[in-house]
Amino acid sequence: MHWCTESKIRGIEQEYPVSANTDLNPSLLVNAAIQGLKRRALSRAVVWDLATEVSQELHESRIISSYGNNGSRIYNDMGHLEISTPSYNNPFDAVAYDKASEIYAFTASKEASVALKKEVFVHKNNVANVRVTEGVLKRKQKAIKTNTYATHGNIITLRDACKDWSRVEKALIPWFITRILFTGSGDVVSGRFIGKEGVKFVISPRAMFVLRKSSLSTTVDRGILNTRDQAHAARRYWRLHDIHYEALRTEYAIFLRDIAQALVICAFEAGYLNNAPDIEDPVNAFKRISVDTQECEWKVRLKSGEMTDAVAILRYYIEAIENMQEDSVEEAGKWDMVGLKALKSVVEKLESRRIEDFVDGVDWVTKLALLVNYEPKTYSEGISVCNQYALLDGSVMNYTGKGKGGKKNNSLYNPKDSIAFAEAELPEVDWGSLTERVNYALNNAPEDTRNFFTAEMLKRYGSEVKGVSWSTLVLKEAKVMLDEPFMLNKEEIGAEMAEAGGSGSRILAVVKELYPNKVIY
Amino acid sequence: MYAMTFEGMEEEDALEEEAEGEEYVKDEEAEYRDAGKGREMTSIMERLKRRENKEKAADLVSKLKGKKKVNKKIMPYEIYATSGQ
Repeated sequence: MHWCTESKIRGIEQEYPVSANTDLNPSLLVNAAIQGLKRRALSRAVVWDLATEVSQELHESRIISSYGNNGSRIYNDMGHLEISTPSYNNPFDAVAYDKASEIYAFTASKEASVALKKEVFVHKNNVANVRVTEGVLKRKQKAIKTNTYATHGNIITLRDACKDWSRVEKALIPWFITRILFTGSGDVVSGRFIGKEGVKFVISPRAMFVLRKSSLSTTVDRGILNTRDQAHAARRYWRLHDIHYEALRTEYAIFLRDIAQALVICAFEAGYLNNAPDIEDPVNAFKRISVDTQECEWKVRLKSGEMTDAVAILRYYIEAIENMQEDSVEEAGKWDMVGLKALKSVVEKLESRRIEDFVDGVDWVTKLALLVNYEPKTYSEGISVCNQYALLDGSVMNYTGKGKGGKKNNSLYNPKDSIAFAEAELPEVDWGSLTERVNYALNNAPEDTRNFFTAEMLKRYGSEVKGVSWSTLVLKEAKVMLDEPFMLNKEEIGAEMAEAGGSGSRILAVVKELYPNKVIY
Repeated sequence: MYAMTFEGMEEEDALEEEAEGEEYVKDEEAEYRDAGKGREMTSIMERLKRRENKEKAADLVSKLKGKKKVNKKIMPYEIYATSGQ
């Protein structure tokens, strides 16, 4: 039985920038990092099966993929190290697999350093602020240009709910715009976004790059919503591709973003968001909220002419979720209840503008607090503070319990402070077991989703696997269509896997018995 | 000072302060050149509003002061990355 949010498989796709103080091509750095993960036996090369790709086949056909031991996909995406977590279905795993992704990225950077004989760094953020010289002759001037790369989220959604895209826009755009108050990663971007020189600290750097309400493209002319149709499952599913997840480091924010998003999508599917507030000019509203890091008024004008604020809009979503749970004949699940309580708590604090309470819990507030205390005198120092928070160094190994914490680490993100915040704010969650779960997440896919089958098949019968994708597994004998998010999970096939011995044929026979229509010879 | 620093961090803070000072003088001159009492009141109200906003602006920054003490040295980590998705 899956409760509301547990019926939703989801994942995080992080593009990590890989840097070194040298003029090596970024793609070379990324490739060295990917090779390093293979050397450390955390991943293996795979052929990505494109049989079910219907909209991104050209782009996908150019990608050389690796598959992590934990079911993640790893590849070079336009000069960034992309790690897409396996699909999970609860917020605790959102944290565990996001932290495992950080450890993969850090390990990859260390291996790249060895291979290239040059220190290679990897950061978890969404912007690179680059100094450029503009103009000609005497009019030459230095300026800051901000490049962006993404953190995407994905969550399985019912296709029926997404058929009318105007309904999707009405229900979800106000959510995407206002949730940044607790999901914003915070960073400095070129001051030109607000018509100034230097740099400006913003709540959501990604918001500054949005030009329209919806878009198919994720690289130019970005929309608040992305219309990409890659179900990665049976046709009755839509995979909502959220291009405005952000590079978060705090457990609290990662947890809350995941469960809040799942609750909102459940309410959306069930029709509880059909009367969401209509925002006048949502693209500009997104940016205005993002730049308001000081007055924190977060004003939003509705199409009716009424002025409201982003927190009041978040309150609307809470009420919709409460209505959904009240009307439901089933009792809410554990994560549904924890999630709603946490969302209400964060909105109450935001309503009273107790923003300072979120230091170590919400990334943008933590970064701003660091900036305040470091008192950068120049924009270069401001950029450095934000970059140093995003730096993945030995401190990420704290999550394995074999930490390389200590003075040698330079990252300004402090895992101990972050976990202490999560423990205080979310006492219902067993944070004491996070280390164990992260260690599991480094080498195993989540037990509850179809990724369990793919990851285990690769580990046990790798030589018999010809190709993989999110929704297929190609064996020498046959192709298995993984159309349903929870099919062939540990409960369904774990025991057979453990008993099968040295051949994948026995497993294929079991799969054929369970899902006769999903095995294609 | 913090409000200005974080509103749009510039390479030279002092220049920005100077520029704002000049703007303030220009506002005063404009106020006295204009004869209408109503206009003067509007100007005063605008200035009060601006001051109020500045106080508010400093508020979050002052609340964050001392909230995150880290003694690590700031390193000039640069990220060399092109735009992606």
